[in-house]
Amino acid sequence: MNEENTPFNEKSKTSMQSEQQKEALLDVTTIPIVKNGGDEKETSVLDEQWAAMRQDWQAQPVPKTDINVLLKQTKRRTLWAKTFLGLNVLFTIAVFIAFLIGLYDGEYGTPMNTYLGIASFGTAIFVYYEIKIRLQTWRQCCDSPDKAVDNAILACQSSIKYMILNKLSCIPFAITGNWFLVVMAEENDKSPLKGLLFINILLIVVYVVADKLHKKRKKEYQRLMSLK
Amino acid sequence: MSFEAVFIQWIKDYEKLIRHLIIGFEAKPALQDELYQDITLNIWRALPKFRQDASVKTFVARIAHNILATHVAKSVRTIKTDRDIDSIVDTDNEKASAEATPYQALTQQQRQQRLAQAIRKLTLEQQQVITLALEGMSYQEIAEILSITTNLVGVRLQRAKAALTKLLEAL
Repeated sequence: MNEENTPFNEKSKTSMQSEQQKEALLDVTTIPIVKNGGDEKETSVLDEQWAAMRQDWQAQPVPKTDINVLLKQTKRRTLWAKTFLGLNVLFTIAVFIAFLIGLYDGEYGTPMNTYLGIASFGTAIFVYYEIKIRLQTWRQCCDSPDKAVDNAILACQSSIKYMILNKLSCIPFAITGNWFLVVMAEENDKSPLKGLLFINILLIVVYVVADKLHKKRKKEYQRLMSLK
Repeated sequence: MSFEAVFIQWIKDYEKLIRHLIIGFEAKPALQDELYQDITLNIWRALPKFRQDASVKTFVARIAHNILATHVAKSVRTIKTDRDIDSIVDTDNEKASAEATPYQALTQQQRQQRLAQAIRKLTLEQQQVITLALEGMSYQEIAEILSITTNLVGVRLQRAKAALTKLLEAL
């Protein structure tokens, strides 16, 4: 990294020092709570109590973190999140290219082309929502904590939409998947039973998981809205 | 200095601050660790966005508060956990003294537990200002972290202190 772009440099240290100078003017230990008819004695007791509380709070023991392990974990989590998103985008592009090739060359046949067409359209919608949710989460970390609840509501709304999409997509995928398997089995003179069983069980699992997450997000959404 | 070196330095400098802030919002140790990892992950992600004219302390505290505010807002479990922990702390305190003990007469560990317990019972806004004030931050710093005016910090802190005193008396 370029030395000039280093985030933690002398300038930021100077900034911290000037903040400390301001702190001297606005020391929280001397904030009066309630001055009852100029009762200075009471204020002084409250100040002492507050100072004691602050001392206790700052003396709290904390577990020591192995920073190298933490760094590794942090890098791994960031890498996984980016990898999954990248793979999803690549998969969508690959399915779309395969559909275009099939459409213009006519090599795969109608059932395969139809299936690829629906799949490329469906995965594009999924990737759009995934990118939207991830960007919202990443943007949120530097926003004002006062907006944290509003941001969490937005993230929750996107997540709910994503879950609804997951559940609804099971219907067209069930229709096209079953149709595709039957047609392919007929073309190859094979029984479609195993394939049908597999795809339908898979879709049921996807639906149940999406439904569970949908209910969880709805509960979170209701709780967030009650805070507004 | 590389981003990696900066990250390590920041975590070394502000580990205690982050851990203390978490204690004010979450009682369960397992969830505290989860939150600590979430905060550090977000600091790592936000590191390239850090403006050099800003204070590192307020930058780190702002990220921590974003994660913690979202956690409190979302979490339903915390309320239950808090009650569980509270009952444990209460039992411990009862064992320590059969009679009702004034706050100042408790051991430091007991006082710290009671203080954290009382802070977690405050409203989200009050939790935010009180945890930062207890860390010794100025009005200006708290205002920067929470993106509110210094006057509003004063008002919220005054209310939070009054509520905290009542809670500590009641515990």
